Amino acid sequence: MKRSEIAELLDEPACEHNKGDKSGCSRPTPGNTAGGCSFDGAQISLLPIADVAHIIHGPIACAGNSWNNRGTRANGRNLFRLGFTTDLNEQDVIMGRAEKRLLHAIKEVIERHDPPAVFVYMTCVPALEGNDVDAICDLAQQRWKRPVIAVDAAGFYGNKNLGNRIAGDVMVRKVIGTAEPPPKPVMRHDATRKVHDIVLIGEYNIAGEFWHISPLLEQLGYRVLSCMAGDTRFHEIQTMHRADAAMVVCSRAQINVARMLEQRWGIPWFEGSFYGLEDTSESLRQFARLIGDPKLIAETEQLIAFKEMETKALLAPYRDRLQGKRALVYTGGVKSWSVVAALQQLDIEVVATGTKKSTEHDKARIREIMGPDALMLDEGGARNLLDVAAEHNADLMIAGGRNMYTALKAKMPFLDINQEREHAYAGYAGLVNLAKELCRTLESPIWQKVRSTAPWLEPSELIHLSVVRHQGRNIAREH
Amino acid sequence: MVIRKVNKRALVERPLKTSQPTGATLAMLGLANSIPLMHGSQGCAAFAKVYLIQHFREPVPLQNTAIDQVAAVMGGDDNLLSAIALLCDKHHPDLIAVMTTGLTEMQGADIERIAKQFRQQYPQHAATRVVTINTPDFTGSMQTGYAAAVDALVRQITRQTTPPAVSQPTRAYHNHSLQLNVLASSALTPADVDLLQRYLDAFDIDAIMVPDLSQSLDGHLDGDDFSATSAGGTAIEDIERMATSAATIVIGESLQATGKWLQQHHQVPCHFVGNVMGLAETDGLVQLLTQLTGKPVPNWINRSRQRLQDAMLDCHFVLSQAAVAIAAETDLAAGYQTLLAEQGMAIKRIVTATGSAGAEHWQTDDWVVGDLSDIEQVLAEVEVVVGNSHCAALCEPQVPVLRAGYPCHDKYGSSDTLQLGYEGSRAVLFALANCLYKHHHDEVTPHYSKYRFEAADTLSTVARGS
Repeated sequence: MKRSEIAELLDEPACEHNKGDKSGCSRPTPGNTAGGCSFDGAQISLLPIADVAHIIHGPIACAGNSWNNRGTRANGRNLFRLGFTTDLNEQDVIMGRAEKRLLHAIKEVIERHDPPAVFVYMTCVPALEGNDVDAICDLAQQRWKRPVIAVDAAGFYGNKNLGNRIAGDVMVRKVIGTAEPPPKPVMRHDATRKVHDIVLIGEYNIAGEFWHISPLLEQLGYRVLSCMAGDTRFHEIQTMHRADAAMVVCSRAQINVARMLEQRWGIPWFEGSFYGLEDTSESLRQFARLIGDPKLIAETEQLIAFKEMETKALLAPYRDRLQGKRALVYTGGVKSWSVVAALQQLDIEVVATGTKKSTEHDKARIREIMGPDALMLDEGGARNLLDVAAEHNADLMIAGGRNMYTALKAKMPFLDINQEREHAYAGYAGLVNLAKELCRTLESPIWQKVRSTAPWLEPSELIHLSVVRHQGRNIAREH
Repeated sequence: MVIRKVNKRALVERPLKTSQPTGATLAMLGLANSIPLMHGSQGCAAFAKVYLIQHFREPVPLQNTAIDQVAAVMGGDDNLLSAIALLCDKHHPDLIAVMTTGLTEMQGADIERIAKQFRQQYPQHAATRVVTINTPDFTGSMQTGYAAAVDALVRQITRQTTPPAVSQPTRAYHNHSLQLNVLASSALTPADVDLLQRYLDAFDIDAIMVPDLSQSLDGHLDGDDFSATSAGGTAIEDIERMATSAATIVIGESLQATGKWLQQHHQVPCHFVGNVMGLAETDGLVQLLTQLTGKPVPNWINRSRQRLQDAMLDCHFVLSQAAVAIAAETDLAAGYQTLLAEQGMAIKRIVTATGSAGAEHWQTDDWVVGDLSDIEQVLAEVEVVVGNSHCAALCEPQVPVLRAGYPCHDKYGSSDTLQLGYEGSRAVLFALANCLYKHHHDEVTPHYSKYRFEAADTLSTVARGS
């Protein structure tokens, strides 16, 4: 990818981090980075397109270390859980055989798995070598009569966020709009109306949590053309341009997709979150509002009223147990304010929250929720997080898996909220899950045990022994 | 306090317990050059033998007195006498352990008298010690049989000392090793005993381990081929000198009576250390060893403790509040109960074969003295079960079972199962967490919206391959 193209992606008009100096995404600092690379970002945003064959073109590190390690779940064919890679070796690199190898790899993957499309991910080594992956993909596409799409996001291009954006850009340029969805069916609960088509951007169905939401959307008469990308398929991505409304779910990583959907096809969009009661309800309201169907708006309110009541009843026993606990929140992708609000619904006090990826808008929301003195952490890092936690008497830390072992080594209760997690926290049912998992770690009796020092490190009395004469020899004996 | 429930059904469907002589046999296999001799019909011994062979995948040199129809009616004294004499003639063991069965107890066989009679009639076999153990099948279980065997052994073999003359207090003996008795419960596997021995060695303790299964049933090949006696274990001479030890450490409630007897009759102070499972109990043992010997705790033990703490942290995400049931004999159940409660698991039910005085302190919702059918009742409520192979047959694949206790014949390496100390606790936590992991179901039921459409329903707007 050319520098100019990267600069263009960094200059995302819809992103509030972008102050016009084309530096929307901060550069990683050598010796002080914690996040992934562009390849990582591109891969994680597209991998959940479950029926595509995703080939990682590079030496083994890129695929070998990361394949099938995320919590994203999908219905039907789970081709994305295989780790296709060209596994470039030394001879490939020296002899310039990487491109040839890639072509063969595409051929093999098509012969063996017959996917509807193949995505080829560029990585650092073939990028440095100057592989023309676009040309190989074009060739393969002609030869095997199916889309073969290059995702040019080598690791050194930048950080993970840039990778998310590159992935979104590729989808908009090469996939979205290449097929038309079937005509709108009528709603199952109301034959007088046709379904409303919507899309979600940045929802990864981690631990299957979108399945907490999907039934609600179905109930309201929404047809989700595609959820990009979690439990979705290639042909569903192709039809995203026909959405009546779009929602950007997870942070601003793929805000460029929403912006381009709006520019090219006039799709209105909003940013929302499915964490916590209020945000879940608000997201449902936003969809109804954007679509403007009065019946939908009324039905949405009904559903929200019922769900909120039901959830509050389910939460009651956990709230008693969690009341007054103090949490330090340091989230990665998910919106901090959303998690903070969810915790407040559980009567947990949030002593500080991470805002590294938050915008000014996000920060304003945090102040709104936590009060004007809200402590915001722009810097993560193990030392800093632990110091803040200690300083503010936090009972637990809620953060990504990367910080998990930091918290644990400090013998502090911890809840994983990142992409590798195994628990589904989205939606109404997800909040109950969240409460349950918080109780699990907070109420565990191990904390006192793991903080205990060995009894022999304290001064203690020796058991007094005396010498006893027995059959001509001395023996020791307690007395 | 835990209220004990007793399963009072007439029919036992899936027995958890097995007979006392089987337990006694197991204990006697932990003594050097010994032959357990079951006083009963052939079948009594054959069943026990197969049971232990299947579990350990090791030969089990168990003999029997082959009570036939005539001996059943007329008395089996001659069978017993001739059996002992034959075994002495052929194998010259150091010890023959005579264990009664349901049959011979019903007869009222006086094995003590016969043992004395054997001594008088066969002075040429004086080198072989004969221990008599009452283990009727109709009381107790494997664990009580094992305990009865250890008790009989200690009482009958330990030499009476002359009343000790106490001199002035001193710690001078610390320059050489301290002699301790260690009574090891039937809950301990050969690997557990081996680890326990390492803890004792770390304090330079001359331990008399009764019994020592790590010498016989650890699964090893040595120079000899078949052996008619136990493959190794504690020497009889060591048992003889138990009265001269500085203290007795008792592991497992079932052996407490023996420890107390040594205290009363031989003034050897008795220390009960539970089952040495979990952080607190292991701390207790190590602290006792350092206090008894005055020697510092070596680094590797400190390190093991830290590793257990770390394992507790790592596993708590899966294990805390996970519902579990335990089916085991009381010592083993007590040990697992301590470890699992320490980890924050919710113990829904413990099923044991017999009663236990210490059970009132167990941290469980429910305790039943019964059979494995009592596990079946709580199966829907639990995520994992600790139990034997029969328990696994009942619960799996619905609920995973961490194999523990006897018999475990559906796996290899039962002798290597480590449960004791920091190391064993850690291994158990990992194994349990892995059981749950392997059995993990995604939390959310997949939802496939009725409005979703297939690729064939879409209309491609670009020519493929262009």
